[in-house]
Amino acid sequence: MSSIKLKHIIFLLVLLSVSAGCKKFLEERSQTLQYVTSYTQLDELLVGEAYMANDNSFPANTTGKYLPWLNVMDDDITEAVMFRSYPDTRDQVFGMYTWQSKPFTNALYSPVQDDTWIRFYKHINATNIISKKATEMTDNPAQLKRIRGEALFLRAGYYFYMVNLYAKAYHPATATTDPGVPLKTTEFVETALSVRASVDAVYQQIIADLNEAEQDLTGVTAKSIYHADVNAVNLLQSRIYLYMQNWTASAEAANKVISRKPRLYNLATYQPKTSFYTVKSPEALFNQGTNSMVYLQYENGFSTFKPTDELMGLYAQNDLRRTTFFEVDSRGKYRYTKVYRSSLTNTSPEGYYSDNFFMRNAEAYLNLAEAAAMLGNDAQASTALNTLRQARFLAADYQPVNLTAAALISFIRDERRREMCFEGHRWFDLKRYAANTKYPFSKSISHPYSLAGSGTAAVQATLILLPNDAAYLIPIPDPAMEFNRGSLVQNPERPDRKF
Amino acid sequence: MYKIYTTKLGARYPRIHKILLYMRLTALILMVSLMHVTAASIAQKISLSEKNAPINKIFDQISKQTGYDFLVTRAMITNAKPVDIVVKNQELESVLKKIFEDQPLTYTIRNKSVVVSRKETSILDKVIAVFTNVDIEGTVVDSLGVSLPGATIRLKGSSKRVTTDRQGFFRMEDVPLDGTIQVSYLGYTTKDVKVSQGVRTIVLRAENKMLDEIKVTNGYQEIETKNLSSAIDVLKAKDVVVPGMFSIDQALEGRVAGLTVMNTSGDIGTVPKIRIRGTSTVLGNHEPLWVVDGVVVNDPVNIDPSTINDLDFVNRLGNSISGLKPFDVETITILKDASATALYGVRAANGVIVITTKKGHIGEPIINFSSATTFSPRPRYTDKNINIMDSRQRVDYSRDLINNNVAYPANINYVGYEGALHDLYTNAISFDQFQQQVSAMETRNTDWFGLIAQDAISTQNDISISGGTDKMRYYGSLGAANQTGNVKGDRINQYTAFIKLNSRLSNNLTWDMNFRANVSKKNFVATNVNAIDYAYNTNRAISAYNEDGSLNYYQKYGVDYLNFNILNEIDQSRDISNLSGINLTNSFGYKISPDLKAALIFSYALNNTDQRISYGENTWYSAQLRRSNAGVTPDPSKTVMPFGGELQSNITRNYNYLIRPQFDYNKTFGKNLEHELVATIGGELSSTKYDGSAIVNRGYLPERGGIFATVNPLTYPAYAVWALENPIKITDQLTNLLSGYFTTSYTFKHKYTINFNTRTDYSNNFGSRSNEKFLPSYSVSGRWDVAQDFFRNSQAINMLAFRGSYGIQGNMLPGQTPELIMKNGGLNPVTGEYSSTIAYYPNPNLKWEKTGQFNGALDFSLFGNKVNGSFSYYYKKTDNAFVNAAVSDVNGLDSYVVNAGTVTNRGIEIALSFTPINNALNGGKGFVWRIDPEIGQAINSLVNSKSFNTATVNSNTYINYLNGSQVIDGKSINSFYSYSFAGLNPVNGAPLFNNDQNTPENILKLKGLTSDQLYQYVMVPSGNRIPTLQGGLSNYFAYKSFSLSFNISYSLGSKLRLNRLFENNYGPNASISTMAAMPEDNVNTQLLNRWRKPGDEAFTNIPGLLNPTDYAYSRTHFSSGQSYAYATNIWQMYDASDVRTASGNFLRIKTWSFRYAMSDAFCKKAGLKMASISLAGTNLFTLASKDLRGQDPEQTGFTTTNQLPIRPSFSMGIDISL
Repeated sequence: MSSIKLKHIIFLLVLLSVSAGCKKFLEERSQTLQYVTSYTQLDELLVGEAYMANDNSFPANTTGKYLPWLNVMDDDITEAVMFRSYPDTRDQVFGMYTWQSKPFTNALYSPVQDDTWIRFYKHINATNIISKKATEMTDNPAQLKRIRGEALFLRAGYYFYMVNLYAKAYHPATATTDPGVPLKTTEFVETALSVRASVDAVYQQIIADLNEAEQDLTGVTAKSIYHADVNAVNLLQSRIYLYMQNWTASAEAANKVISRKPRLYNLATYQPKTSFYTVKSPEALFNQGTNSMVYLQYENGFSTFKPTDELMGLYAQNDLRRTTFFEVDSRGKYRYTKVYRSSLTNTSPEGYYSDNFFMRNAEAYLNLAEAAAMLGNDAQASTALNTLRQARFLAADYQPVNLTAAALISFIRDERRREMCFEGHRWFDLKRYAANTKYPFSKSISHPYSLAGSGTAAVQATLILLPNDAAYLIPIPDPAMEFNRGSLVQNPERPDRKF
Repeated sequence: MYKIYTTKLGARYPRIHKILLYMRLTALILMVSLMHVTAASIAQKISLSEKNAPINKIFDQISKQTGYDFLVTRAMITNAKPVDIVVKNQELESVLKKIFEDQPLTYTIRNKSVVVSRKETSILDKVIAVFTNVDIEGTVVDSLGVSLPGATIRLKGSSKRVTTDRQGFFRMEDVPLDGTIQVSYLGYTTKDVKVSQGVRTIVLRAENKMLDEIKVTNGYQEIETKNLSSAIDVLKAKDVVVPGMFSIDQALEGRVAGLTVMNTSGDIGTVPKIRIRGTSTVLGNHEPLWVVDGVVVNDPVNIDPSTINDLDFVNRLGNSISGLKPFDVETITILKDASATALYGVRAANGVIVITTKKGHIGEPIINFSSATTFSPRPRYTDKNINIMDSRQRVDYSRDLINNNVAYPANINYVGYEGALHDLYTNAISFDQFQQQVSAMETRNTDWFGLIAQDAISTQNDISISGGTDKMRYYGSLGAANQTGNVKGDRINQYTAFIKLNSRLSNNLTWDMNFRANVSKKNFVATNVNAIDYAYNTNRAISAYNEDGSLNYYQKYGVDYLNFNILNEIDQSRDISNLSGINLTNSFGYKISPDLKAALIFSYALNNTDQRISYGENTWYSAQLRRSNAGVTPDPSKTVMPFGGELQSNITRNYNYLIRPQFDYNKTFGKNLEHELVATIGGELSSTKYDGSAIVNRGYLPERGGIFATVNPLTYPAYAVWALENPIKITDQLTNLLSGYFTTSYTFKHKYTINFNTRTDYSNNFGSRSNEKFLPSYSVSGRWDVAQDFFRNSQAINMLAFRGSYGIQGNMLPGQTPELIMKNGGLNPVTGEYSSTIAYYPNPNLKWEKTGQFNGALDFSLFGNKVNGSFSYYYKKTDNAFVNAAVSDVNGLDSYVVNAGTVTNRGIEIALSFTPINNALNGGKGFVWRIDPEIGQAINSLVNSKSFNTATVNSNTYINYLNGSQVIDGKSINSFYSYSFAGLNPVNGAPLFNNDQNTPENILKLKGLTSDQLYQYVMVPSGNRIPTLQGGLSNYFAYKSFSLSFNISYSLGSKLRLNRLFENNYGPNASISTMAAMPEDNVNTQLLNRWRKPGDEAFTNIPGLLNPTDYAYSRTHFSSGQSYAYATNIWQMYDASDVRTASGNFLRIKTWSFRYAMSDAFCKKAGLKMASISLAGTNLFTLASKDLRGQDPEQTGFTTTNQLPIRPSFSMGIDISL
């Protein structure tokens, strides 16, 4: 009997130890996967998924870059072709540069992949999830509030780009009926077909997000320029209100930025062959994303892009921006050097500086100037304008500007072009100037395209973008149209510019 | 006959011994007259007329007449009264009644024995009865009545054993009445006989002669075939393995109905793709599970399911059984239906293959040596399946191209005729030199196959020792296999060791140990070089060597024009893997009671894989990275490898352990032992871990002892950027599984069996549905032996049984979860922050994928077992199959996994075995012919899925339609589409396609279609890449010492693409596309029949050469860049059109072997037990569709690179036992 008892005891002991070990044995495990349970994880997710991917690589193509084509559609850029060479930087953005009806094609009319739509919505979805999680979690309320603020700022920023790329400019009379882009702010997968919210609805969402972000981020010092702070939020607010032609609100937001960060980069101190964009710049507010302008205005390239003579003609000879933002390369053409990179001298920027998403307080001065001028407050506008221009000339060369009304507006618009060229503003500005109710402005743009054989280049076609051209709207991508068949409305057909 | 049983109480008296001796003699006499007894016993009637006769005499008489034994003690006989009796034709019962009427004795009838006992049984008598012993005698014969001399009779539970004499007679003394003897004879099934049942004539059946004597294993338990209700096929390795096979999976093709084998490549060491009964899941792994000696084995390197499922993926790293030599394999068991595989749970949805290794035999040690040498010829230009131009034809073709003003893109390689012409035009050579060069080219005929490939000789040597006693059996083997590939420099050296012990530590305790070890080195040309593809596709007018014998380099364009020579590339680009593995399994068995056994298995396995792919400094590959030729200093700003070569090293370590306690209950009960109950319950704890690292290093200097050059990142910024983006990648994957399983089956009267299996798993899989972890797999099955009910006495029908099973298995994709799961990323050096990404979006509505499977079968054995076989039908339906469903891309993703698919597989399987002629029975040496046809069919279709393809760009999805990776509702998985060829344009010879008009009406129509409608409008279905029917026909002829066997395998129902006419460069970068072959490429001789003038379109479907304008226009398809894009250009469409598809049906003499066994006399003289020599081969002859024009039916044109098709081989082997 005793042996049987012993058996039972051993059996029970084994059973106990096995079941105790089981819990650990079956504990969920993965090399790199985790559930999000702490704010630090959420913070990592914010960096990895909500912010645009930073990079400072300069490959010989535009693959993986954010909006590489945003600056090739406007009147600041033109081709610079001597003969065909590798790389032909025009190739991947051919369809955008020549405003083709299907803009994402190369010179052979073969498709070029563009993932802007899905990529921006992927970021938007990350901000949806993160902002929601940040309100649900409780482990560090202060940090979670900051994370939420950054996420909402980013969501607002992404919708700003989406609505301005794919929809008409905000026109106060028609904004509530003009189709914008689909609004998705929920954190879960929605199986319903998408519909386009009105332009106004998208803007209202942006305003709501920015207001919350402002509250969440007030008093928070950003870790680095790779994180948004309240200045970035206010600057974006001032830009949004400017686009909405809400001049008072725009000026108010711009003033908030200026009051906190008034200092500008005095270009008299600029060292040649360095980047204008730098973390050390007192102007720098926030940066994310990638740079493709360095590639598109290829150093010493034979078939590439350059700034138009029209743009260069806007700069006075003693305007320091002429030599800070540009450099004449060995082919005798101007090239973009806001981010300075040269393979000849082996110079690369020391940080990440994107082309379209480097936010700086100079814009606040310009926004303020424009808003004030629109409100008829010419004095305030001139002060803002002159403060900026003071930092753009040698003290000896500086002369204040003193204009009024339409002349002032026109000068501010030119100043905006001089200051913000190749930063993703001009295309949007052209759209909104045309929708401006006080001082509407529009123009025709022409882009030459040369076929470069082995000999010299010959212009093959000169394309014209007329005011209010349907090509001002980017078509919604085919997969989205196909999936949401009938529910998503495509933009009007763009003119056929095949040649 | 009757037996005397003596008491064991106290010492034996010599007197009793004497009496016993006398009694035994009587018994012996009775033995001799057995035949009469049997005859009389049919009558069962007794006639006696005796007066005052001793009772033992009466017993003798009755025994004689009825065949009943009398069991009686000496003491009883002395106490018995003499008997007076007169009866005529009376029943035994009534006769016995009369005899025992006045006796102090009584009797009971038990199994043809009459057991006599005292009437008033005292306690003492009862005690005596327990301990009574008898002496037994009998004869051992085979099923034809031929006596078996030398058979062993062992009393179970004691050391007592005797052997039969020359007449097959044996005698064993002093055997307990309730004991059991075990009768064994080599080559015959061992039989247990209870002493009380009578032991006069014991019939042993020859092993494997009868189906119902075989036991099959499913890895967890052994099941008698006669009680088997699941779909299980057993192959004996010695029947299917021929010399020249280096891995056991190669032996399965055409052997098992319902098992499909596809060979993606004929290179050595490549793993074939195996599908059992079709494909039942869309996103999960499609390969079966491998089990060796009851333990699941894992692949040495973890490859994700989507790669493994890719039909174009060539796996050269090996699979889970690569370390096991065919020589050591005894049987291969294929578990096909839910009932057979339920015990393996969710992992077994694609079937299970169980391998049982050899084990030692009881007896003298036998040393077996087996050696084989295999010859495999390389491809040659003269092969009928190689139809490419010789250099004169190729130069003529180039001339035609030039005369047609074909525009070449800018960066072509100036070699061959075009090269010479280019030199002439650029004034590098004079016209005379040009003429000379061209005439040299025309006769050059470089033998690329000869330069790149080789006739390969491989050897395989194995030695084993086997032997033992019934206490301990052992088997050990050593093997060495040295394989040489058809590509020069390709070789695999594998060494294996194997030890197996089966021991009986005590009557109740057994211990089995199994140790396997293998080391192998694989040395291949790096995959990137595509050596064999180069041989197939390169212009023979190009020379490999200069006149002075040095290598001839030409300028090949990649990122720049750089020196290229394939021989140099092959020589300097190596893919070397060192693999090693050990596997140790210990299992203990303990008999708790005769019915209940406990077993504990502990298994540990370790695999190491170290793969190093290196490209030397002097290769074109390295030159491209360096951006300069060897010895030329590169531009420091551009080079991504300033010095040395590249080394990619991948190291994977795989650790597995398993602990499995199990209880087996096995009881036969009932009055006539008509009830059999078998039950097994067990638990399993298993753990698999993969540890690995992968890194790419540049600056490799192998000739300097494998050191790396140091690179200054400031001087070489491009290199620095590359280095930053290529950090070491670490894999660390652990899968723990805790499972419980239960199986039971009940058999009534050996006729009716029902069975139930279930298993449940718990795993540590991250994120796998914590709220729905429990899903058991279960199955029910049954068997009815019809023959026993209806054809009991039929001569024609020996066995006829129905089997049926139904079961359900669940499957879950890893990583699908209701929670958000993030993936840790690295540290960003600039921002100084960690970043993570979303790995899995929350997917709260996911359920298990469930596969329900029905299997019905009819097994039969007819005409004296001359015809054996079975017909099976199965129907597999996977509900809630995981598919990627489309969602609006504003969700940040365009598809996610939902349970929206239904996949069905159904098929018929026929397995037959005929023995039309058998003159070799009874130890004769006549002619034997056995033929075993197998047919297995799997029809697979995906019904009703809201599936969506995950490609992010619209323009890519037509590629999925063309290569069979698109999941299409109602179509089989791996169905592919082709453009519908509409003939050649009579004006210029360009290919035309149906529904492909560039007209406003057609474009309007195209615009209105969804992409699925669009592709199905411009394309036509071409069929399936996986055969629906695969089978084999094995033949075995034997005469005297000669035997010949061959296996024909056939495959029907698959379609494939013809190889391209030439390597066409219409890839993503269309700007360098041309409709003409590039100067370095060779082209198919079919182009000789191309369209040349209007009217030719009636005779040929090979497009003509276009004039430059038409050609320029043809480079871009009108749909390019449009929402309805469905093609790149007409050249791509032509290659993917329906005229370029062909049937993949084939019939192939897969294996053949001719064997001669040395005569016994010869062996005796040479001191050998057995010796044989054999000639064998594989893939001798293939019969395939004419449309293939000799292209191998397993070599498909879906990929841009040609794989070596499966090669024939010839082997010679010897097999000696001492």
